[in-house]
Amino acid sequence: MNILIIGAGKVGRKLARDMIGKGYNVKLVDKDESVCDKIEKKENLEVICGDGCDPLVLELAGIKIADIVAAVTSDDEDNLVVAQLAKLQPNKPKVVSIINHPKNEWLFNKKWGIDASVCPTSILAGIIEKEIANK
Amino acid sequence: MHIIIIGCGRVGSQTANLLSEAGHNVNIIDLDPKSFNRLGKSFNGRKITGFGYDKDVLERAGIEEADAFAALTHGDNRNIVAALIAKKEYRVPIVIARIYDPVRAIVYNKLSITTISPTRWGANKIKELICQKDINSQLSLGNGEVEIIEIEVPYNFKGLTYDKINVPGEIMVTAVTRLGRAFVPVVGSEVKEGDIMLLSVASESIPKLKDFMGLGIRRNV
Repeated sequence: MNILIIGAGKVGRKLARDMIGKGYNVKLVDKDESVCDKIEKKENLEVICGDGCDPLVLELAGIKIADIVAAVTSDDEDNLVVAQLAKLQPNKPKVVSIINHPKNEWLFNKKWGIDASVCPTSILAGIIEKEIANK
Repeated sequence: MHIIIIGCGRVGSQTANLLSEAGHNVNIIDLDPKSFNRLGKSFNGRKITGFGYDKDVLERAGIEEADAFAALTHGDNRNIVAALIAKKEYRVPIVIARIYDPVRAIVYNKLSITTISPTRWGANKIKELICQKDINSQLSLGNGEVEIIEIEVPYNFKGLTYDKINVPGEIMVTAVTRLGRAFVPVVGSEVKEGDIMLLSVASESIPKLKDFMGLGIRRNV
């Protein structure tokens, strides 16, 4: 199982470690050089430094053999673009994504090449509202 | 036409001005209200301050009735996402996105969006200017059967007369500019150094023109 993770923030790194722990093949992509350097020095993760919205970078990272692509950058535009590019590949990997801003939720669906997504802010807002209603 | 433009930078504002002058209903969106200062005084379209792909902002700009949508912000990803929203969610008939990265521009053309890559376009144009600096088409007539070409006379044409350059049905010197003044040459008008000719050339005769302008072999003085 090949998993390609775009965005090496907290979510991306944690995902990468967990998936490696389960024995999967994992590659991380991040455009921030200092982030990539730190990961390479401290952790045993394979990281490609480059813009995950660049078709050439994705190809280098092995998108053509990926089974799952996780678009987990802190930028919703980037996550949407990654999904478009992933679905242009002949292997049509599954795409999972994070939604940073709830106002963009309406775009994260199958039509946009996203198979599953979560919006942490919306989930938390829901929990808070439930708590308030229960009081 | 009802047109929506996102991004009121140099290209966005110019495009908005041109379309507004041509009588179209232009709606321009930008995050920064100060950017609207770039629009001309004659701009009579609508200026909308907001984020280029927010649902409510797009709907305020009338995207449901839009005939055309152009995404011209500085961000490639923003442009592509906005253009895809126009295409996928609102089925706008004409959607154009400016993409700086030429590789991405090619890839996104596959997503049925017309992409303009100023980088590639500029590079091609510059290459053209460098490699064919003497052949510069000013105007293409009909479907390109005839080109109007402005060209400086080659050094070794000095002393020749303009009527000698004409090839019936193929090449014709229409006007000459000398020291900033233009005239229509007559039989016997002499070629002077630094003259700029305006030629009507049948497009299939362009190689012939290049050939004899480049080296002057055929009509060496």
